[in-house]
Parts: sequence; C-alpha cells; structure tokens
Amino acid sequence: MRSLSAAGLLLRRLRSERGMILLVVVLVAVTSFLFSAAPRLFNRVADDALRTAVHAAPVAQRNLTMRLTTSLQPRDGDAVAVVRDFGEGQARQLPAAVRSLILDWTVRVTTVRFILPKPPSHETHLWLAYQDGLTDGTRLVAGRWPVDLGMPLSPDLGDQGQGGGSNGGEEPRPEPEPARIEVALARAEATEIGVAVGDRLAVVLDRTDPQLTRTGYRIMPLEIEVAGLYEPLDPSAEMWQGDTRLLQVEQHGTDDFPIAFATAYVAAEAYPDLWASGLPFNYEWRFRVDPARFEADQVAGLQVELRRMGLISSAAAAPDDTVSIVTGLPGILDRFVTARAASEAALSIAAIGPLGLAGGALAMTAILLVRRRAGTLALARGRGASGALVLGTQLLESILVAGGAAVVGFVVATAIVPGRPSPLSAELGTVVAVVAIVVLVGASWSIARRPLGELGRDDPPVLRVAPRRLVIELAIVVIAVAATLLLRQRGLTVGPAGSDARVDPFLASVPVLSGLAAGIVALRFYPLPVRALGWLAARRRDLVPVLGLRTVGRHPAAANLSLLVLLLTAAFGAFSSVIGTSVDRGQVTASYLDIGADYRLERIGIGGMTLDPAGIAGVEATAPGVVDPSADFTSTTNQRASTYVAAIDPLAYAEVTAGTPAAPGWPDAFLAAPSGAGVGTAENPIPALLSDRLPTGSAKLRIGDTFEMLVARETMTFQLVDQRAAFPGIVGLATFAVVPLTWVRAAVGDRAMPPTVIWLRGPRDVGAGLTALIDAERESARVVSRHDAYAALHDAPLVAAIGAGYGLALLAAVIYMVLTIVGALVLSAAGRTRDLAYLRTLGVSARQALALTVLEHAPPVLLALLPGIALGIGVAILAEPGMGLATFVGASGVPLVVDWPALAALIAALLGAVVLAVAAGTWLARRTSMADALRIGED
Amino acid sequence: MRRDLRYTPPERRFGDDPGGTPMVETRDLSRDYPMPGGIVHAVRDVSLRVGHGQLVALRGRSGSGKTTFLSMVGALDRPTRGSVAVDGLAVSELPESELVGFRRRQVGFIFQAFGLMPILSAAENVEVPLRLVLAEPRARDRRVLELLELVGLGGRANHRPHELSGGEQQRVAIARALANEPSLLLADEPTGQLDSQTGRGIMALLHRLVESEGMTAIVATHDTMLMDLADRVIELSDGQVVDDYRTVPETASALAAAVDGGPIDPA
Ligand SMILES: Nc1ncnc2c1ncn2[C@@H]1O[C@H](COP(=O)(O)OP(=O)(O)OP(=O)(O)O)[C@@H](O)[C@H]1O
Ligand SMILES: [Mg+2]
Repeated sequence: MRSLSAAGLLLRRLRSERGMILLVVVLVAVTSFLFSAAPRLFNRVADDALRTAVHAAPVAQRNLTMRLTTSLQPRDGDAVAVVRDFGEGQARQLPAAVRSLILDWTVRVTTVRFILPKPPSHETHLWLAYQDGLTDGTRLVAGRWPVDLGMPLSPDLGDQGQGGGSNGGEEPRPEPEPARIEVALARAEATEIGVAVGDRLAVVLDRTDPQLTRTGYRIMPLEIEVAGLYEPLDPSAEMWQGDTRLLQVEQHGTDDFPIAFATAYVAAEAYPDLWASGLPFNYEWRFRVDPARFEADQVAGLQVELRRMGLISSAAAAPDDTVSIVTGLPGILDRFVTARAASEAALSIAAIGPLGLAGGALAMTAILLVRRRAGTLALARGRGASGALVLGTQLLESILVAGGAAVVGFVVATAIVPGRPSPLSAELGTVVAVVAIVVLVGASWSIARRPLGELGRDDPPVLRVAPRRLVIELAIVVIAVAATLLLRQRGLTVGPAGSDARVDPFLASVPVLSGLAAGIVALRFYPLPVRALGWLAARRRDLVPVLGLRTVGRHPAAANLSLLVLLLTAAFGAFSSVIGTSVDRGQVTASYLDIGADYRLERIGIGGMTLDPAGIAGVEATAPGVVDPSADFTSTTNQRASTYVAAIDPLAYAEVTAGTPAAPGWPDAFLAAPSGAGVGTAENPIPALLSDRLPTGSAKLRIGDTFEMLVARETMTFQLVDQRAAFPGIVGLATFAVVPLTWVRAAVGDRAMPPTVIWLRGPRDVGAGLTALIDAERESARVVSRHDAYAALHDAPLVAAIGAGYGLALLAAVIYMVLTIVGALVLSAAGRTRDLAYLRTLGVSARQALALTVLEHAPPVLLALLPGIALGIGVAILAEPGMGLATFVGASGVPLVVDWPALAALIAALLGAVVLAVAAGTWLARRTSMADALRIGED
Repeated sequence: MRRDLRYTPPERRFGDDPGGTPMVETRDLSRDYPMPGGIVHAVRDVSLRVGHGQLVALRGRSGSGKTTFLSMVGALDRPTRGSVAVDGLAVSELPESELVGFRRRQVGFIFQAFGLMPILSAAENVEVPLRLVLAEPRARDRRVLELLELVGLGGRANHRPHELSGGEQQRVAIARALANEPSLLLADEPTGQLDSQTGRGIMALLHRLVESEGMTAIVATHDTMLMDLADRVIELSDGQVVDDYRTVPETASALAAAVDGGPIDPA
C-alpha cells in the first residue's frame, strides 16, 4: 500500500468524486463571478448616474460662468480679443480636474443699463450686449445683422451740475450729433417694446441700474438703430444657458403699468466704440462642461478642487474687479454623492442576502460531499490516517478547488463584465473563497474528530442541545440585537455626509446577522408547538398526523439548514419588497406634492390663459387657479409683506386630486359656496389657508384673525382658517397662502379672471395632447407633468440600479435556497425512502405516504416563511432610517409601506420554489421501492 | 374484516379446520428479471402448500431466490407467472388497494435490517400497525405494552432504536409484526445482522411465538439452529425447490399442521 500522504488521498478523491467536486466548483465560481461583477456594474451605473445628473441639471448650474465687472481696453483692430485672452488666462488657472471637463467656452459682454426716454410703447430699459455664437444660434427674420458704424461713444466731461434726475433720465443736449450704435433684437422683444427695423431710438444711462447709482458716469448723446430682427433656432439650446436675455423681454410691473427690460445685440466690432465711453462692462465667460467626461470615482477630487477654486479666484483678483466663478456643480456633485451612498447602502444589503444564502448552499454541498466520503474517510482513518491528516487534506483540497473556482469567477467577471474596475471586486471574491474554504473544511471537522467506532453510523436524531452550542447561539442573537440598534442609531454609512462615505460592512451585514439570530430563535422554539400538536395528534386513532408531526418535531439537525435558508430568503424577499415599494410610493407621493396634480398648465409671464384643456381626450378633470407669486400682504398690525398666493377652485381641485397624495383635505370653510353680501370685506372675509411660517410682521396672526391681501388687483379681507406646513404643488417657498377661487371671483364681481394655472387629472398619454394644445394656441404656457416628474425619480440610474439589484439578488437567493433544499432532501433521501418502504410493507397506502410527505414539509416551511417575512419587515423598519433613501424621493421622506399583495405573491413564489425543490429532491431520491424493503441492509 | 384486538388464547384459534385451505399455496410461481445480459429467473415454477401453524425454514445459497419468493408471498412484489394464495386469498391477483388491507392484517414482516422508524420509540414503533387499523386508543396502548412484554422488552418502551442493541431492535420489530395478530409471519434472514448468540435468542423467540400464537411463519435463513426448530425445511436453488422435508413433529400442533402441508407435484 502506498503511503497515506495528503496529496495521495486528495488525488484519489478528486478522481472518485468528480460530480460533487464539479458542483462545488460551479457553485463557488458562479458566486465569485456574481460578487466580482457586482461592483463593476455598480461603477458603471454610478458613472451613468453622474452623467445623467450633470446632464439633467439646468445648463446654468452645470456649467461654469466666470464674471467680472471692469473695463478691458480693446486692442487695435481686434474688438473682443482682449476679452477672450483674459478668459484664456483665467481658464489656464483652473485646476486640471476641472479644466478637463470643459468642452469649450464663449464670451458675453454686456453694458450697463440704459433707458429709452421716449419709449414707443411703455417704459423700456435696455442693455446692449455681444454674445459669441448668437448669429449661429438664431435666424435673421428682418433686416440685417448690425455692423460697427465707427462712432465712438464719448464720456460727457462737461458741466457736472446737470443730470441725476429722479426719473433716471438725462436730458440730451441738442447740439452734438449723437453717437449711433446698430443693434439687432429678438422679434419677441421688438414686438413687446414696439420697435421695427430701421427705427432709431435715443437712449440714456439708467440711473436705477445698481452699477450706476452713486457714480459719476456721464455720456454724450447715444442713439441705437434697429438693423435687424432675429429668432432663436432653439430657445432651449445650451448656448442660451437658460438665460432669456437677448431672446425675451423681462416683464415687470402690472398689466396696467408694464415695465419692459430688453437686451439688444450689438456687433463685436462695436465694442471699442462703447468702451470709449469709459463705462464699466459686465464680462461673462461661459465654460461649457461635457457630461460625458465625468467619472464617478473622480468626484471626491473634483469636489475638493471646486471648493479650493472659489478661494483662488477671489484672492487672485483685485477687490474692485473681482473675478467670480458661478457654478451649481458642487451642489450637483453633493447630491450625487449622497444618492450614491444611499444606493450603495441599499445594494450592499441586497448583496449580503445572497452571500449568506450562497454560504448555506455551499454548506449543504459540503455536508453532502463529506457524507458521501464518510466511508472512505473512515477507511483512511482505520488505516492510520490521523484526524489532522484528514483535515489537512481537506484544507488542501478546499484551497485548490474553492480557491481556484473563486479565482476563475473573478477573472471571468473582470474579463467580460463592462464597467470600471473596483477594488471591491477582489475583496468580495476573496470573501467568497474564504467562506467556501471554511465551510468545506468545517463540514469534515466532525468526521475527522469523531471516534473511529462511531464512523459510518447514521447520525442519530438530536434532541438535546449541547450547552456550548447554546452559548454560541445566544452570543449571535445578542450581537445581532446590538448591531441592529447600532444601525438604527448611526446609519449605514460612516464618515460625514457628503464626503466620500463608505458603507460599514459590519452594519451592512446586520440583516444577515439578525436573520441568523431570528433563524436560531425560530429553530429553537418551533419544535415546541409542533410537539404540542404531535401530542394532540397522538390521542387520535390514525397514523399519518402523529407520525408526520413526530417526524417534524424530532428531525435531524441537518434539516435545520434548509429551514434557515428558507427563512433568510423569505426575510430578504420581504425586506426588498418593503424597501422597493416604499421608495416607489415615496416617489409617487413626491411627484404629486411637487406638481400638485397629474398635470399643471401654467402661464409664463403675466396675464391669464384662454386655454381649455377639458376637451382633450383622456383628461378626467380640470381645476383652474390664479397664482400671484408676490401678492401684497397686510396683517392686522398693518405691517406690509409680500407672499405667494394661489386662488384655487376648491371643489374642482378636490376632484382632480381625489384619492391621490395631493388631495388637499380642504378646511370646511373652503367647500362652502360664497354667500352673503360684500364678499372679501371685513364683514364677510374670504377663508384662507396660510403656511406654518407666517409672512413677515404677522407673527401674532391666529386662526380666526383676518388680514388683507392684494389679489386680482383688489385688496380683499381674508380670514385665517387653517395653517399647513406644505401644500401640494407649492415647493420651496417659506410662506404661501391658499384661498378659494370661487370666493375671490365672487368678490371681484363680473370682471373676468382667466386662470394662470390649470391642474388636470389624466393618464400619462394625455401629455402629448396638452403639448399640442399649447403649441396650437401659441400661448406662452407650459405643461408640467407629474408622470414625467415620477419617471425622472423612478428611472434615475441609481434608483433603477436598486430595483434591478434587488430583483437579481432575490433571484440568486431563491436559486441558492432551492439548491440547499434539494441538497437537504438528497441528504435525507436514503433514510426517508427507506422508512417509507418499511411503512408501505406495514400497510401504509400510497395516498397516506403522500400525505405524510406533505405533513413532514408543510409545517417547517410555514414556520420558516412566516417569521422570515416578519423578520424582513422588521429589518426594513430598523434599517430604513439609516439607509438614506430620502435622497431618491426628495424632501418628503420615505414612510415604510408594506405591499401585502406583493408579499403574498412572494410567499406564493417561494412556496412554488419549495414545492419544486421538494419534488426535485424526492425524484432524485426515489430509489427504494416497497419490494426492496426486504433487501435493505443486504449490500 | 375488523378484528378484535383483545388477546385471543391460542387454544381457540387452533379450532381452525386443519383440513381446509392451506395457509400459503403457490402454483407455478415464477419471477423473472429482464437484465441486459438476459432474463434472470429469480424464482421459477414453485408450487407448494404450507399448512396453518407451521414454522417453515427457507434455505438456499445466496441468490437462490429466497427473498424474491418471500416478497411475492407477502404481496410486496407480483409474480411474472403463476399465483400465490394466502389463507385462500389470491393475493397475486388482488388490486393494490385491497393489498393495503392484506398487509395491515394478514401478514407480518420481519426484516434483516429491522426496519424500525429511527425517530420513534420502541412503543411508538409497535403502535404503527395498530394505528393503521384505527385501533381504539386505550386498547391500543394496552396491546403495545403486552407485545413488548411478550418479546421481553417491557422496560424499554420509551427507548429509541439507536438506544437499543441489535437483538433488542429485532425483538421490537417482531412485536410490531405481531401487533395485528397476522396469520402469516414472513421473516427474511432476521438474524443476518446479529451475532450468533443473539440470533439464537431471536430464533427461539420466533419458535416460541409460532407455538403459542398459532401462526404460520416462513423464515428465510442460513441459521442451522432454525433448521432444528422448524417443522419443515424448504431449500431453493436457482429459484427452484430442490429439497423439502419435515422434521420430527415435536408438538401436537406441529403434527396437526404437518398433516395437510407438503409439496404437491407440478401437474
Ligand atoms: N430487482 C432485481 N433485478 C434483477 N435481478 C434481481 C433483482 N432482485 C433479485 N434479483 C436476482 O434474483 C436472484 C434471486 O435473488 P434473491 O435476492 O431472491 O436471492 P436470495 O436467496 O434472497 O439471496 P441472499 O441469500 O443473498 O439474500 C438473484 O440472482 C438476484 O441477482
Ligand atoms: Mg435475500
């Protein structure tokens, strides 16, 4: 006989147990693949999410705008080159991390504000501006592009005593020929202020411009000539940066006394003429970032650079002409980092569930393997191999087989799964390998240490538990409880919020720990009711119930593993269902609170809408409203303030929002029709609802008190009937008022009050009809869709990743669970079919045998499923505050929602999987027939 | 078909008509196993009759067909050809649904590997057949104790199989086989897993029970001791009966049983 070396034993084994070894290899390799692939995929999702976030942000926020107010002297022959050069110099000073994001940049030069002393239509203020690329982004619709007329604007160095009139105007002196600058206007602007091509208009400095107040600038007479009119090719194009100047007139004032603020385009070559006046200019360099150049792993560095940049720019420039850089990027990045941390936390938990279950499946395979080898091992030990040698061999084998398989899984994942590499891949792959090795060696521990005489005997069913084991189990339960409390207190991520927070693996493993603890508790206690039932069944005359319950109550310990695995799967499923449903419902709620209804049609600018969307197919209800973003507010103390006020048709709005989170829950007073004379006077005040924070100077206002507001150009008296922290559709305002439109209408009498907002109820496909309506009516109105708001929240890459991650993790968990159950059945199959064959010879019918099988499996399955579901919900309740899910929902937070139908479906699916597993296991094990009962033990 | 479970003294049962139907009667009993290398004739054309109250030893080399023969007699397996009748009941023709009742009441099995449920105590194991016939709980519990006393294990009622020795386990199995007072006891090498000393004890017990309970037993065995105790010895070889002899009748009952037994010549 050859010497009993570990290597010799090992080789013999690998040859004789090809099937089982293959199973171990596949299991470990697939698990390692999954866990190595997950971080790479997450990196990809994170990059994607970052780019989407940058792309979705308003242009003015994601880009960098550098501003400077000064006067840069033009060089001969090249008008704005000096401005470009200055920008170039500034751009070079940007940190490399920031500079690498910049696609290109443009220049915009704007003068101080002028005013038209003789406006053709109504009071008109005017800036002159040059912007790079304007002629490319617009289409000339009348006249021609302006040119430089070569008439420099000189400063007025004359008599200082004149000018400075209160109306912001300067009296032009007749004698000198005024300087003339050609301009082009957007057609919308020209229409609004009432000018046409060829018009010449005198302009003077607008002393209400903050840049001109308390300065002594004076200029010689100036005239502008309208050379052409243009229209933007696409007003939402990136070149406009969401800035409507040069495209639209900014309307101020009221319907009766409108005030226009317009911006006219001048040729670049005219810059030296304007510069000659000595006036300051507002220079803007707009650096356009490329969303595709953002990478999630560079965010931390970028955040640091951006924070540092603010310091450099303000320190480098002189106090008077300070270069300031404006960008919303830090905010965008902060929000991304928070969302990524929350997503990471949610996905870590999602990953840990299957990891634990993979351990269970592996343990089951290992037990099967060892059981299969028990004979060989006993033989080897009989021939003199020590326990240590057996264990050593097992260790060597496990390292070779499991370690090798884990490496293969890792390498394959690295090779074929797209996404940025992550150190986490290797870490998780190592965890899988170590768990596999420990489980495989641990399984043969008992055989290696058992006294020789007992080897080869069937495991006797365990009834009493060793005290040492009880202590270990108790320790796990205590640790789990402590960890859960800690998680609740601290949250999942360590490190200050906003920084590159990392998920704490110990805290993230809380769900598995508590699953283990709950499993231990359930397994320790569930035989009690089963035994009680068995005792009751023993009083009966028949066999099946008592035998089934006795079998369950006295099952061998190995059966616990499948119950534990089932419990964990149920818990994980319930957990992911609760979290998923809660996030989704939270998003639905947030979208309703954000928009106020399914759709909101709102007027841009001043005046009302004549649109009537009620006729559009699919629109179920409409509610009109009149909104004034800053209405005069006077409380009883006579202190004046301004507040946002929305006059809403209460009944119509209640119908639009019935059954949704936006349902307003009107105070009773709103629902009553206006009655009596003098509605809106102190005698018959209109009911009103105010924000919790009251407008300035009204701190003493109590429910029942009255106050005055200027609504629809009439001062009316209102009575405070209710206060709210928030109101659907009113976002980001500290103070607001909501009043019933019906009453306001009654107060203004028969004067028409067209709505400025219309809320609608309708499904997603109504959106196209609404957009078409607005386009057809050429109204300057817009449609805001709650469906879009919800979709934006729901389809955000990090949120979608959680959904997909949980789905995949649940699938993997179920597969591991089925593997474990099949393994457990195969393990116990020989004994079970043998017992059944004996029972059949005693006269147990086929139907009784089936009933017995069902009875043996049903109570444990139910006893594992129900605590599992409860555990999942419990962990969700405990862990949710620490998971930071609010990031995905917005300010409204995530109240936990249990979707019972979904849970019922989950239970049904798990039961289906269990039945399949039992059927498969039973089928695999169907070997002993009744006729063979006599041959058992013959060999 | 419901049988009174109360203990019936043997004398009364010996009132059966000795010249009536034999306990077991086989005609041309054959069992073939089609195998890749050709058909294996495990049992071929066995025709014999076994009278009431006999203890029959079935011997033969390994593979001679003993187990196959017993399975067909106990209706665990169906013959390829021929027929088996037990106490006049043509079990080889009965549908499976009726065989369930036959197994519960007419026949008791004793296995080489004992066949006890490992999770049940000795008493609970003995109780199984009684529950299958829905015995009244109090009578059932009394009968269990009585049976365990009968096999000498009155003090071990609550022991689990793994807490019992092999011989004790086999005695529990015998008690279980006797629970519903079957008229036929079939044992396949009941001492195969026991040392010879214990084996002898089991054989003596079986002999005593057949004597006192008045049942018929067919015991497949290599044990020579049983050959001495048995009323009749049948030897199989290659599935055929090659020898069949009666030992000297020792008791009146054995004599009475031996009269109507014996091989019949294949016609
Ligand atoms: N299921 C089967 N399939 C094929 N051949 C079988 C089967 N069962 C038994 N045999 C064959 O039938 C013959 C009789 O077997 P049986 O088990 O009845 O012998 P035995 O006398 O009980 O032997 P032993 O003393 O070893 O128990 C043997 O040759 C055996 O190989
Ligand atoms: Mg045999």
